[in-house]
Amino acid sequence: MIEGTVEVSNGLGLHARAAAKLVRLASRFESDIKLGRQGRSEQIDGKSILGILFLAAARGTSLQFRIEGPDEQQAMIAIEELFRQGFEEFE
Amino acid sequence: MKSLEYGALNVLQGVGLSPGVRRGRVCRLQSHGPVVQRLNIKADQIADELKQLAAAVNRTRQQLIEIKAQLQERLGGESASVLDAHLLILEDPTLQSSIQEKIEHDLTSSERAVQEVTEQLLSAYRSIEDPIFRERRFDLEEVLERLAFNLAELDPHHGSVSDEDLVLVAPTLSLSILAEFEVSRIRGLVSTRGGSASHLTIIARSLQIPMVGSIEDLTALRNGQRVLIDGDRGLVMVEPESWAGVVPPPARPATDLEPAEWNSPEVVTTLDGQVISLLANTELDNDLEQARDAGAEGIGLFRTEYLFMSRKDGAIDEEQQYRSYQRLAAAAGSHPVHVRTLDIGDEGHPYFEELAGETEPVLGLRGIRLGLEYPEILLPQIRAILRAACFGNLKIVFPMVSSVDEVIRARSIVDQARSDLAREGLSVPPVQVGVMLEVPAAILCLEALTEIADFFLVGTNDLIQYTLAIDRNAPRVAHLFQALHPAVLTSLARIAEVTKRADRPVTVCGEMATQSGLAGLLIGLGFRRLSMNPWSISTIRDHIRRMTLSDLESAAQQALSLKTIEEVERFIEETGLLGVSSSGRGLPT
Repeated sequence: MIEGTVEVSNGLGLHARAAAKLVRLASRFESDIKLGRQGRSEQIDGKSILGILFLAAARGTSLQFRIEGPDEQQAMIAIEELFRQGFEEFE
Repeated sequence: MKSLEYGALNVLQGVGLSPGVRRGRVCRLQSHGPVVQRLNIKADQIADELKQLAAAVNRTRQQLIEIKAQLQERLGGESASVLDAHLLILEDPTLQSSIQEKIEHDLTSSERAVQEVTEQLLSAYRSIEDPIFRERRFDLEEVLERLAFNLAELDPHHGSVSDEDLVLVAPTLSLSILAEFEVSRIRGLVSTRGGSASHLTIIARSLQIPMVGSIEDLTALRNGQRVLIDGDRGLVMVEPESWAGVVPPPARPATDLEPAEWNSPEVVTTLDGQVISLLANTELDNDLEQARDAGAEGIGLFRTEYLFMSRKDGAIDEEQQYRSYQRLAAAAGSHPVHVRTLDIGDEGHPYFEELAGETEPVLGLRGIRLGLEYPEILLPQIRAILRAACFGNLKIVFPMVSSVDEVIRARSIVDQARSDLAREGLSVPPVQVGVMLEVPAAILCLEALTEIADFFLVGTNDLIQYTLAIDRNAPRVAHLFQALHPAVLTSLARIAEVTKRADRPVTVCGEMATQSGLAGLLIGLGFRRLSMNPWSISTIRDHIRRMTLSDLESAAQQALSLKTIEEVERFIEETGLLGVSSSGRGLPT
């Protein structure tokens, strides 16, 4: 299992479209992908858009990912990249 | 506007979500989930029940894909991508498994399982504190409602849809109606639900379809009835037999922004009683709050570049601008707001750089030159400002003016916009038109400009740059950019004198006013209105209260008589009366 922390840096936060992008990306990997707000125990399924929207992660929120499975490394890299690019959103 | 006389009219007051006024016929849509008929099942029915559920999920998926394709075709990819989120909600693994679990373990019918899961999820989402995310429950509700209808094998919409001028009415409206009805037939949208951040609201604004939300009781609106929908004021009026004598209710800010409590600004006077007006330069909505809190008497300069910078691939449209200016006007109330038309300079904007066709725009196609060259940019901006002026005290300012001819042409665009709007049914109150004084040519023909401009703003940064022929961005000459050059002082003195003689208000809105020593100098030269960034206001106010006008005036006269930059700088440094610890060299950043 690997862990990683990302920050929501795009202006709108993890809103509907960004959440959709994350779910579609996460669903491409076999690994079990869980996330939660940093410092909270609640864990959300990274392949569930309802869970991700429920996190209500606005800009500036730190999210902790826990990924476990055969392609956990690739999944973590891809997710970090998605957040780094700010979901390709114009601010 | 005249007093209202609409007692005989049936007027429903809601909240304006998308502006515009249209007439049409009510078309009521069903949008509450169907009544659950069967509650429980027997253990041997589980397999059938799951099969039914799967079939309904399939049908829902097909419908969503169809709606997505329709939206894609009619509105383009951005709006259609919302349906991607809806498809993912439908396929959500936690959602699917909790519905199945209810069927398999609690032996509930598939309809009831969907209903219960919907309720659970909605109540969880309602507890989200962030309003933007809380509104996402509408997406969830929309998808699950559709699923419920498909389980009951019902058609979700029962409105009479024969009419051309449709005003769609439902407790909740969703983006999918735009796929089911042709956009060109929709005149208005009315719902019980509010929410300015809903996808439909955003699309309605860009399609210029008026929308009113937060109307609790929709029973007054019956199928086929003719109504007038006013998205500016958040009203729906059931049309009377005759419109003769009916005056619409007065405008009120129909925005999601609280109408501002702008306290009476503090009066600022010098020790000998000269009143000085302090205003604020702003470019963003939250600057406005700062300006208000700082006690500004209004917005001396509202720069619209940031608004345009929010889109890199083109100009933002009239509606988007209108929403911004309307908020601004409503928030400032009776306090003046000077809106400067687009002045893209060295900020770098791919779209406008391409239009200007050059890499060095300091002396190029910018300011009013760009606007006159491309009326398709200037005209919508003027229209948006004029429309918003109905909500407050907006004024228009043209940047980088260098001749009377340009002002004549710019004013004719204002006149054109005004008469276009009148033809469309909107009469706009008088709006003053002013000119930025920053190009030496404008200052040389200032007497003629006072005959055609209602007021003037002095942009000191550009004035210094153009007077001294110094490009601030050119590293080898930037140090020569000096506010205290005798030529700059002479220009400023001339501006103060000519505008006073012609009785035209003039406001200095460049950075020069934010340095205490120079603010004193400006007052001594004859300026009475200074506009600056909001956070400088309180400091400058304190300084002015310790100054004496007669001292400032004689000091300014003395400064004007000096011949070299060095002499002026030394003089400003030595005369403590002009301010506190001013180095006088260059400008604060």
